[in-house]
Amino acid sequence: MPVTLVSLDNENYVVDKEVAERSILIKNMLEDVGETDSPIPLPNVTSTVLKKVIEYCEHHRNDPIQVPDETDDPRKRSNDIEEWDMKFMQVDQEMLFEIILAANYLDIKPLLDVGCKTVANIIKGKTPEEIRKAFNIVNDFTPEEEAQIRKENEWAEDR
Amino acid sequence: MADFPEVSSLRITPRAIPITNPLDLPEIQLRIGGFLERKDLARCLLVSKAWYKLLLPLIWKKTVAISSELRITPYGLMPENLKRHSEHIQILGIHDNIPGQFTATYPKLHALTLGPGNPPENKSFPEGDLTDLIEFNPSLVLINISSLGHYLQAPFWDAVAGLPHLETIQIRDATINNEDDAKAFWLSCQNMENLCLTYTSFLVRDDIITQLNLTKMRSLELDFVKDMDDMVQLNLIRQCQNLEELSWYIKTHDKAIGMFAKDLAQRLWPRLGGLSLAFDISDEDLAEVLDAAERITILDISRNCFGPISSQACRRHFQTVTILNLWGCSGVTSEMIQEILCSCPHLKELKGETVFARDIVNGGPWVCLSLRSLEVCITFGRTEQDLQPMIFERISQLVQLERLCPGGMVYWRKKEFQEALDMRLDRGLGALEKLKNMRFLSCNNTTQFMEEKEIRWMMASWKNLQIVHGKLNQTDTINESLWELLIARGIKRS
Repeated sequence: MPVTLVSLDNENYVVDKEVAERSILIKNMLEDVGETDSPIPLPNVTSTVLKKVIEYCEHHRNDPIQVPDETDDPRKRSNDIEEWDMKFMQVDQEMLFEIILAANYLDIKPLLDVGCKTVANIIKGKTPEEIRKAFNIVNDFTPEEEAQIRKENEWAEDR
Repeated sequence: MADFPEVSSLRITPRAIPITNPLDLPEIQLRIGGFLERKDLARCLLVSKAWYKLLLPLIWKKTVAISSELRITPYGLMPENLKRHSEHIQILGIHDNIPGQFTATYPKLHALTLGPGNPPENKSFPEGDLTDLIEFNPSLVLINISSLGHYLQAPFWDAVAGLPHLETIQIRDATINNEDDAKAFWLSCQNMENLCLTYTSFLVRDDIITQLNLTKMRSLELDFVKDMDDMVQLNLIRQCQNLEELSWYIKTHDKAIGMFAKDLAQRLWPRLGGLSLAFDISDEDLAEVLDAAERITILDISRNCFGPISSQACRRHFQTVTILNLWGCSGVTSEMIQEILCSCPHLKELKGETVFARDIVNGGPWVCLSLRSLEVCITFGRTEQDLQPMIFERISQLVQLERLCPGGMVYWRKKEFQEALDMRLDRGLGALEKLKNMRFLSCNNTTQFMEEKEIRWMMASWKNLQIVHGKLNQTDTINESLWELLIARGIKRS
């Protein structure tokens, strides 16, 4: 059964229920209201981003539901993005951020993870100054503070 | 198009202020931080005050401190820095605590590992400092101690006994050769829910053991406890009447196993569902235990003399068993494995020995549809290649499967059968496309001739694949090129 999604700028997108339900937010809403023909408003997502998100959900419509990692190790890998996702994420930074925000809002964990991994890969191997430049962040440390932090945490750089 | 304002139940509150930078959202930044290694996190700390505040706890959460005087790490983890960030530390490993350098309160400390210094014989833990460390950290839930030998004295155990939240003690390679110290240790165990002793040597008297109240104990692991008679060990197990899981590895077991079976029959441990017993226990003794046990969910009897009598007794538990480990049991036959696959509806993990494809391919349907891990060595006779697709078809019905090791971990290889499950598409591999949860594949103990098309098929079909073991192709250059493909996808080789 198809579902109609409505973006912030009032564009309608008709997608299969199975595709729309990749979003836990939408899945829960549909479960709450039962069978419905009513369009689902997504007032936080613009049409350009929604189109992109739908493209992702279409491609991953048959994926297994992600099981939370049993291991307690929080350090997950960011080098395991699959080829299709990698290409899908080749967008400018503004779009990347929009996708992450939309995935967060729509509760699409695998997409959120791919987005976060992409950001992590941008950060990897960069110096603090390069990271600031990449994300347009202003350095608000004094040189003394910076030296202190460096000293206290340099053991962590070792591994 | 229907106008949506009518549908009040579908209304979602729009965000108040549009946010354009997800890096300003702590939950997202922490998620990103979770994908970074510690050295990258350390650089992120210097980006801005906001990043520093958010990411600092990730760096310090799990910390291993090694005395800076030993200079194990080039920079050393200075004790004063450790103390300064003590509030973030949840897991702490201390090796070589030269005069109490790391003795402090870590308010969120959950797990503490105490290990020997380097070199290991440099046992420079001053007793009093360790006792202080325990007393200063009432938040502790788990203590793991290895190779600290004679430094474990009564005051230390008295401090452990006073920890209000402690649930688990794991001790490896330790000796307590003084009676008072041993008594203090056992008394501290009265508050424990989980106790694991591996290669330990504790001087202990039976009359101390029999006076203990170990009713809180839920899981007990006695793994080659030295200098403690089997009957004393049994008396210890008897004190733990609410035990849910028991691992008992002993070397001599003339009468202890028989007595244990009698106690089981008396329902001494009404909650006991998990049982690991080793080594070389006879078929008859195993059968007695299995007959006496009420409802086993986890059964690990690897490396014992499991045979016709105990396999008969094992049937009682087919309806409840979820984890079954028969690895290294010479008496396990293909027929038994076939019966298990067809009779254990709740089975999640099965480790077995060599099975013949022709014995498991026929018969009723496999009922173990929640199987997550299958580790049996499936072998084919030289003229039985036509069975390959049929075996793939059987395995493909186990749709929950996450781990597949068709070469098993062979202990008793049956030499006359050399052909393994052939992981090629033209042999029927394609049937396994249904196994969407596959995470782990081991080709160890098998001979494979995979090519690029098989690897691409796996990466496309098994989206959760994380680890692959073994040789994928007998030709080294092809094998290496296949590995390049897998590694490029982030799949680990081991």
